Amino acid sequence: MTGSHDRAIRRVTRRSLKQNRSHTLFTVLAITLSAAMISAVCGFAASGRQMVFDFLGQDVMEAQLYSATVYTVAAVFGAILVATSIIIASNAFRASAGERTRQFGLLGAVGATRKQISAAVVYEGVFLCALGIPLGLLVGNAIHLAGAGIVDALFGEVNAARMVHGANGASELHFIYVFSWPATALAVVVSFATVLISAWLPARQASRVSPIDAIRQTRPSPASAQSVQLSPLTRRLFGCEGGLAAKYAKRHRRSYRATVTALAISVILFIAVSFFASGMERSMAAALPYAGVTAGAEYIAAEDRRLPPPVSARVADRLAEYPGAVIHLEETTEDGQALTVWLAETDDVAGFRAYARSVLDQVIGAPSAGEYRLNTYDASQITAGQRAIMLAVRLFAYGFVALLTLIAVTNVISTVVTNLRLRQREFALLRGIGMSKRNFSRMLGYESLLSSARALLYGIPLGSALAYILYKGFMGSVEFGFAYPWTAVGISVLGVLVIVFAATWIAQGRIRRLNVIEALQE
Amino acid sequence: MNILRTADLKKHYGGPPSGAALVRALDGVDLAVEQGEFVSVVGSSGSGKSTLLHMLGGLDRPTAGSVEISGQPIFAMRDDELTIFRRRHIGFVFQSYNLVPVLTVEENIRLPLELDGSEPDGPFISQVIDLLGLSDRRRSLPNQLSGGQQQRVAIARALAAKPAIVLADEPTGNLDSRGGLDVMGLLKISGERFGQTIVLITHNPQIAQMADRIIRIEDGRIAS
Ligand SMILES: Nc1ncnc2c1ncn2[C@@H]1O[C@H](COP(=O)(O)OP(=O)(O)OP(=O)(O)O)[C@@H](O)[C@H]1O
Ligand SMILES: [Mg+2]
Repeated sequence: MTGSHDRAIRRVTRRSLKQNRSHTLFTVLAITLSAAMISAVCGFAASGRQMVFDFLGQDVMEAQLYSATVYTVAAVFGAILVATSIIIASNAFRASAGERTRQFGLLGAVGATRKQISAAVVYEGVFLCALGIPLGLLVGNAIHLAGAGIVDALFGEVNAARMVHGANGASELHFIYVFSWPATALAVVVSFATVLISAWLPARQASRVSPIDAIRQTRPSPASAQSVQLSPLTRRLFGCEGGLAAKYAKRHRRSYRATVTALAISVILFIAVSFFASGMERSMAAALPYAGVTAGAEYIAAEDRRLPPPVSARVADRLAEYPGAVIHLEETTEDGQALTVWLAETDDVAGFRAYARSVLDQVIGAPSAGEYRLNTYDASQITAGQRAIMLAVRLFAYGFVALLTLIAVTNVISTVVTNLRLRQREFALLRGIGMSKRNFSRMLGYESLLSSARALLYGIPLGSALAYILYKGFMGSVEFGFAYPWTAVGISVLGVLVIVFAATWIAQGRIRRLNVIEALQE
Repeated sequence: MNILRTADLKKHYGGPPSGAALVRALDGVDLAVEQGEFVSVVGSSGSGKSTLLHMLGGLDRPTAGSVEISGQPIFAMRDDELTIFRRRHIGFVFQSYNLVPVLTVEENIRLPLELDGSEPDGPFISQVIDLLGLSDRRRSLPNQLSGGQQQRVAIARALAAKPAIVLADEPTGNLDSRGGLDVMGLLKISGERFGQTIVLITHNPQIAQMADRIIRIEDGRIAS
């Protein structure tokens, strides 16, 4: 097979993309947004890591710890994002899968081989990605740049107050934009793979059935064979249009599925991520029990040589004698090492450290190498650094919710528009046999209500479940109660209704303007 | 020599697994068509004519039985082999035209040739377009054409590759009697010039009479 064989295939693909302009546009938009999100998340992770390392130095244990936190958060968000992108992109394609199946059937009937049909799919994917991915990278880097600017401005206040002290005399936190090649490559690969897989599914379906079946689109559909029963309540509440709409909804389950999926996913993510963000806020408060801690002394030894409680208590008492100091005593064991830490709230870090040193030497004795270690350090960097990182993470989480909602909304609009466009003929028929515009609007209104209800029915329980899983798995280490995200659920219900009705309204405006014959001829 | 041959050809729709009622669209068809023959197929609506033609053209797989073209059982071929065989040797006119909506008249007509990567015979195609009265419609899209015009595009597309076999499903169904006779004349000329075998479905007795032989289908079987 050479290029010349595929010229016709490429032409058909290009023309179809051009003809279904609104669908193409929304698909490119969806690709753009998900590529943007992926590249922004990766970019933020890179900036966060840079910030921690600049401030604390590469080899400080805390730095490793914090950058691990940054990566874990980025990984969780990244995974949610990749899953969403895949579902959303394949959804955008699924909305038009029937149309594409028919087109592949037509091509097959006049002699296009499977290879040529795959070529059409790949060509379409490359075309859409060639538009969407570079745009997405641009937008993603813009988000990253703006986000970094905002976070850095926040840090400006922290820095001005001279609240933090890092390693090597660093006294300023900076969250700067860093361009990262791995992040860029990841965004490109994930987006491209997503689009190809999503475009591929209808093609595979079309190549499995005979051209005749693909053209007729006779896939077994249980709903179409059995008669559709309506409850008397539906009839009473919604009248004839409601009855008709319910019948259509039942028969057209497949075309509704794309919209319902898009909505349900938005709801799930919205609830889970809002929960995550508010949980983050509370865990932030919980993670900073010693707000005034500025200095610390620690004793590290093998587990069997741990400091006996009376000794550590005596050290704490002695340290508390330092003017103005409040002491917190902590003991932990990790990897066979016993760690005893005295944290101090005091105004004079240097003075306290010198004093602590002498107390430790007096009570425990000067360190003899290999057996144990005594340390004193400036602890303010930990809490302030922690606070700054938490602030950044919180900003990040809420920004993420906002952008994710944006992706979901585009997707919902795209599926609603596609669905209504594909059914244009059917609507024209209904109008042709005497349905008034008023009846028509009521019918669509009822359909919108049905798909919203369906989406919420799936979205709310699954979103709550995901929130609970996040709570269990991710924040289990931090103590705070599970608060059910009622606000997020309320916003979801309202949001879904608004989005669906708005999208339907926009899409139906076009159909209402078309006259019956025009629509039938499309 | 028999160029087309079917043995106990059956196509059933529905039935137990799907839950829908069983439809025996074709119920044991034995048919032989000679090289160069012009056969017309008649029968009432729903009798299975289109189904038979789809099987002859390798567009749909039968439930049972076989179709041989020039002695070769076509359903023994792999999918892509069959597709390539079809586009080189069979011209098909669909009852519902099946034009590609985003391509112009001329692009639709050339599509099978372009898919095959073979060099279209330009003058011949122009001639067919002229004869079918589509010359001033070359650059129109299918949805800008009348039903009869779309039907003529479908006929031109089937003839463009000069196939050995032309299978036409009611190619005159949407034409006035004059147009119908013109199409029949074109098919006959093309058939004689390229030694084509033609199988044509029609509801019009006058047109059926123009064939060498008439086959009548009833309830998925050959009645005469
Ligand atoms: N995909 C399908 N699923 C179920 N039944 C089908 C399918 N295709 C055809 N049939 C049935 O098979 C029978 C034969 O159909 P076919 O299209 O071959 O009729 P026909 O003779 O071409 O009719 P007409 O003259 O109206 O075109 C009909 O009863 C039809 O309902
Ligand atoms: Mg028929």
